[in-house]
Amino acid sequence: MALLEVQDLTTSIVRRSGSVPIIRNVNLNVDKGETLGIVGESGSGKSVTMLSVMGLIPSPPLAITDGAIRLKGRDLVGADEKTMQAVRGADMAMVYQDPMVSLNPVMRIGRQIEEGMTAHHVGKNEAQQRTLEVLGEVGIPDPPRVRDLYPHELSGGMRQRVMIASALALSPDLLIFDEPTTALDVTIQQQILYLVRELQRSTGVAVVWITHDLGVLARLVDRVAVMYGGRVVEVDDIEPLFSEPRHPYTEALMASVPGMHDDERAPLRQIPGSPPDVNHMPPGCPFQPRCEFAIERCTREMPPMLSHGTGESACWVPREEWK
Amino acid sequence: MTAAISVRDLTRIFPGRRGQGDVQALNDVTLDVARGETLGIVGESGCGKSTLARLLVRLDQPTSGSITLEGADVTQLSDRAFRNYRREIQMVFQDPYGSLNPRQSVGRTLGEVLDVHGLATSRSQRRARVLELLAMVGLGPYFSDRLPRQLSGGQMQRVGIARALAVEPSVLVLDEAVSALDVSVQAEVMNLLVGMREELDLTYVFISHDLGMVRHISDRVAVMYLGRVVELGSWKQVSDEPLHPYAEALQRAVPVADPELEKGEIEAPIKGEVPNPADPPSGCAFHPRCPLAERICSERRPELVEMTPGHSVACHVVEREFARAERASSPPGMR
Repeated sequence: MALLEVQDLTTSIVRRSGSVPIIRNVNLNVDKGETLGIVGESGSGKSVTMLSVMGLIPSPPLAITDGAIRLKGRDLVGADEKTMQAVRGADMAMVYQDPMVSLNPVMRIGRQIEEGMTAHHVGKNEAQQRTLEVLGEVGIPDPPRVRDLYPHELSGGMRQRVMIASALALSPDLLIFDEPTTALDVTIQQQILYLVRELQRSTGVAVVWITHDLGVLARLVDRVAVMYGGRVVEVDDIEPLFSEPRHPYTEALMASVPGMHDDERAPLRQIPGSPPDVNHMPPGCPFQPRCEFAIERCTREMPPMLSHGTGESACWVPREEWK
Repeated sequence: MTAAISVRDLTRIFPGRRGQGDVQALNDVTLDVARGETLGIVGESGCGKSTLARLLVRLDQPTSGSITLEGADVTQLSDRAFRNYRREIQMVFQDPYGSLNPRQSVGRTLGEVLDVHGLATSRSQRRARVLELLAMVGLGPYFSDRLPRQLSGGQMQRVGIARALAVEPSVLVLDEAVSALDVSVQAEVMNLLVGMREELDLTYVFISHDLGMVRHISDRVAVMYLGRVVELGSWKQVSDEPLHPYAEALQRAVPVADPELEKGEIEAPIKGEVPNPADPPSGCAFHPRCPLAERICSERRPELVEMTPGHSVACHVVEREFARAERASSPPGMR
C-alpha cells in the first residue's frame, strides 16, 4: 500500500453558476521514503493538488468535487476539520516558498514550533526539548539562542530551515515542499537540498517536492509527475522521463532550458502560445492547441493515462510517431 | 576593441544605519564591454549586481569611479548634460508588470517614451513607430490597445523590451529580465534577445543569478561576490572551467537538468551564507566560506589577476598555484 494515494482527484471553483474544475482526475502515489517531484508551470495545478491533499484549499470557493485521497489507507476527502488537524503535522506537513508568510513575525521561533506540538497534545517540556532537537537536525547553529529570536532576525535560508524544523517536529511520514528554494540563492538552495536528502536518510520520511526547476528535479527526486492545465500528463522515474519523455509537453519543457555543458548554444526550444486558462479550457487534451504533434482526435477526446514500462502518459500520439 | 562602456574603479557606498558600518555595495569594479558584446554578470544576493545595473543607467550615482559611454565620463555630467546619453543605454527590469502602468495601453506606454525623447513629430509617425517597435519584439499591431493585465508574462516582458528599444539605445542593461518568467516563456524571451542583438547590433549587460541563462547568452562573464568582481573570462572559461573557489561552488550548486549527470549523492554544499556587506570579512570576502582559505586570505585582499589569456581571478591560492605550475614548466636555466 502506498503511503499517499491520490485517486481521480478533481478540485473545482464552486460558484452558484456552476463549478469549474482547476485540477482534474489527478492520480498520484507516494511510497514510504520515496521522493516524488511535481513539475509544471504557473497555473498547472501543482500547488492546488497538494493543498487539496493537506485539506488547505480556500473553501469556499474551492472544493474537492471528486476523487479520493488516502494517507496510510485512511480516506481524507470528506474528513472533518478536527480529523484533518490531527493528520496535519503528525502524519504529513508542508513547507512553503515564502517562510515569512507561514511564520508569525511577532512570535519567537521556538514558541511557534512548540505551539505546533502542543496543539497535538505534546506536553510543554517535551515540546521545548523537541524544538531544540529539530533545530539542531536542520543545521541551525546554536539552537538555544535561535529559539529565542524572531523570524526577521534570520536570513532567508535560516528561516526556511526553521520551517523544515517545524514540519519535522511531530515526525510525519510525508513532507510536502512547495517551491521551497525558489526565493533562495543557489548556494543556499544546495544547502537545503543536501539537508533534505540527509533527513530522508536519517528519518525515512517521504517527500513531495513541487517545483518548476528541472535541474532540482534531476538532483533530488526519484519519480516525477508532470502537470499541465490541471492534469497529470506524464509520470515516470526520473531517468526515463528525461531521456525518453512520452508526452510532447514534457519533451518541449526539457528542450526549453539551456544545457550547462553544450559547446554550441543553439536557440532554445519555444512552446508557442500560452498555458490555458481554467475558465477557457480547450476541448480534448489541454496541451493540444500548443502541440506540434496534435492530431484531430486530440481536439475531441482527453487521452487516458496509459502505462508503458516504468511510467504512464496521456497522449494519443505515441513517441515513435512524433515527427 | 572599441568599448561601448568602460567602468573604472566603480564604488558605491551607502551610509550605514545607526550603529552599523557603511554598506559597501560595490567596490572598485573595473569592466569593459565591447560594442556588440554581451557581458554576463552573475552572483547571489548582495553581490552588487543590481547596484551596478542602477549605476549604469544612472538611477543612482557612484561614490567614486567612472563610467565612460561614447567617450564621456557620464558620472561627471549634470542631469541636463546626461540627457544626450540617456538614449544610449536603457534598462529592462525583472518584473514587467510592476514596471508598466496598469491603466495605460501598451501603445500609450510606448508612445509616451517617444514623446518624452522628442522622437515623434506627428501622431501618425508615433503610431507607425509604436507598431514597428511591437513588431520588433514579435507582437502584432492589436497589442497596441491592450492593457498590461491582458498580457501574459512573456508578452509583458516583450513590451518592457520594446519600451527600452523605443529610444534606439546601443546598450541594454537586462537586470534579471527573464527570472520571473515560466520556463517555456524564458526560452521565448531569450531567443528574442539573441535575435535582436544580431539584428540591431546591440550591446548587452545581462545580469542574472541564473548561471544557465548567463552561460547561454554571454560572450564574457563576470562573477561577483560581496560587491567585487572575483572572476572574469569568456563564457566557456567561467562556466565550464571556473577558477575562483566561489565561482566553482556556484557552478556546482546549480543543478543540471540531466539525471545522468546528477546521479549519486548530493554534493556537500559550501558552508555559511553571504556575509553582511556592512561588516565585510577582512582580506578576501569569501575566505570564511572558502574550502581553500589560508592565512593570507584573511589578511590581504587578492587583486583580480589575469591567469590565462582573457581569464582573470582574484584569489591568492589560485594565483600561487598558477605561478608554481609556470615555474615547473619553464626550462631550468630560465628560473
